[in-house]
Amino acid sequence: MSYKDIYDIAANLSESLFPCYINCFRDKAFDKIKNSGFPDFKQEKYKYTPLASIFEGEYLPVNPYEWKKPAESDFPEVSDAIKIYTVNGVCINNEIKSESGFVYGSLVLASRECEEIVEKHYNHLADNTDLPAALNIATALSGVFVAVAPGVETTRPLMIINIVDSDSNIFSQQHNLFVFGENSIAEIIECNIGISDASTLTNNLSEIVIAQNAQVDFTRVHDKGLLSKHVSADYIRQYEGSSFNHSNIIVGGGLVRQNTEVHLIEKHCYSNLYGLVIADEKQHVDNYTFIDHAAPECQSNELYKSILNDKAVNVFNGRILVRPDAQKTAAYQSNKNVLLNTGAKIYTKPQLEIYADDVKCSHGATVGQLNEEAMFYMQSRGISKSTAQLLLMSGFANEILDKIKNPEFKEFVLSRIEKKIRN
Amino acid sequence: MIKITDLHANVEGKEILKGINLEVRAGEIHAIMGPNGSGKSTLASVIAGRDSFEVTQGEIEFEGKNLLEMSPEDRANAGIFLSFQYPVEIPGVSMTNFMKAAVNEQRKYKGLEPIKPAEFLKMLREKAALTGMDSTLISRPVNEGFSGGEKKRNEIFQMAILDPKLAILDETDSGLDIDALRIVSEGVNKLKSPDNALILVTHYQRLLDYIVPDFVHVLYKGKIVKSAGKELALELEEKGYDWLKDMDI
Repeated sequence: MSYKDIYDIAANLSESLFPCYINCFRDKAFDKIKNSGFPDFKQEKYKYTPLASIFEGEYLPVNPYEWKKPAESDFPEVSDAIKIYTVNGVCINNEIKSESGFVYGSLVLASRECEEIVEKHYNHLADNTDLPAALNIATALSGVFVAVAPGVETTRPLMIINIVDSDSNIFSQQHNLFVFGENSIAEIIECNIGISDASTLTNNLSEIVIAQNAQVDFTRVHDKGLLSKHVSADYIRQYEGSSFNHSNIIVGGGLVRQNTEVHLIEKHCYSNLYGLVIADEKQHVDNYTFIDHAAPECQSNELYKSILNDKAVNVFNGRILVRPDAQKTAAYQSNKNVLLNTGAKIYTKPQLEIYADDVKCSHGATVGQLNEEAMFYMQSRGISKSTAQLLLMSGFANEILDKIKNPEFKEFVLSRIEKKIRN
Repeated sequence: MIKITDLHANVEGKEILKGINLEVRAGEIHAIMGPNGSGKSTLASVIAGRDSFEVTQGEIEFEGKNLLEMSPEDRANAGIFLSFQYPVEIPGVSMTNFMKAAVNEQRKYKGLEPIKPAEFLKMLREKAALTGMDSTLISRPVNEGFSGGEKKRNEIFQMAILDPKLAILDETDSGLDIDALRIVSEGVNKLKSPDNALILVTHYQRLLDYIVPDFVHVLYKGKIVKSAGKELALELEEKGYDWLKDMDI
């Protein structure tokens, strides 16, 4: 089935699943796709990852009423975390729960049970002109809802485990909504796992609202099979005095395109964007980040790193916009890459647009190999070449991995990375 | 312990070592001196197995093994240690992890189980005390942000942990003030035993006030041109290296 058929299915099913304040966006979003088509290499934002060929393929739709329980051995263990499972985009527990400060569950239910908050924020952050996002808005029939009430300091991390499990080329989507109230504190972990060798396509979208003085930590890991294609967009809006850490770790996946957009709309926001890509074989990873400094006296730090082997391709496009009113902005960006052989490729592009005159901004990109001197130094201490490489690569990755707060999850990510590097 | 015979080596096609002969027995301390560019550091690197140097002729025998056929890590595990002239900074890798990997590779080479964490920490503390290494540096990334003196002390600290049969100290005295030189030398002297041997590569005589060699060799234009006892070092200090230019080499 093509995406047009998937739209027809969504149009039929959506009425029984969602209220009209959500469904009302669908037609307009789909018209956008019909009018402009999916981006090819001619569109700057998707130059190195033209999505047209991917989205215009044939896929099977997911039945939003059906799910099957996955094998638990594939899950990361974070013992104190609250867990939400989705299989092929659908929440496997169809309920809204309240636990350790979080209110969470399926967006389908939340759209009725927490109508006030969902209606206030749903599709208020997403960029409807971005084609994958438009497709999600037009056709997604499931998602995760997470909210923390104002003043609540959550006591445990909340972990979302998204599993793609199918023998066929399914097309799954999630539209997630996160709302963090004023002065709240929360930690979210999102883990994207594939237990499928099929050529699946995922198109997820998350809207993340961070109210005044809230402190939010969001860590995401992509670790799917080589045939999987995963497109994901995060739209974050930060209000006065809030702080946000976004760590985005990509280990597996045939194609991963991650858009991360942060809008700092009130003063004194603090935002950290960290990224790590470990790619080999024919993996293609593309990170697009956009930090919109729309208010004065905000700070953003961005650090993206990659280690690439074989014929892996990595793209980093980091756009920072400092609007005329955003005086006293501090925005720092850095992209560091290690190529392990001559077949791997990195395209890196900083994009700073500064319209205010009293700002501190910097950007930089490096591409290099593993340090030969350091290799020899370690070997001269008796350390084998492969262990020395592993130590150097972990050392390079540690700067990002150290940002992962939860020790058990960090251990899980480290083990996946180590396994990958050893292979 | 080590026997070097007619060793020739090139770097980037240029011959640097032009027939070195040197034998070091257990318990001995040899100093290799000479002007800049004479090939001292090249000799140290070739023994340790740096692959940017190409050995074109000659042999190195270490305890009956053909050293030139061994990888740098196997040489280290067989008991060779090179103290670097410029110790390398390794961001993101802590001294603890670095040394644990080294100790465990050495143990694996000897057919032993990996070291127990408590035993390893005890060893780190003891060797830090022995060599005057600031123990707060142990949790930091390897050599990152270390001062010149701390880096050199760290080399001797690693030497104490790995307990080599043959240690080669490449310009360990360079960049050290007198106090640091004394501390580093004391560390080296404490590690010396009748079962191990030392090769000191140095430019100046002053290191040899603290670590007294049995033999002094002068390396010039890739060859050992003179060998004698420790008094040769004093003579070099007095006369400099200019007299070499008058020799027909």
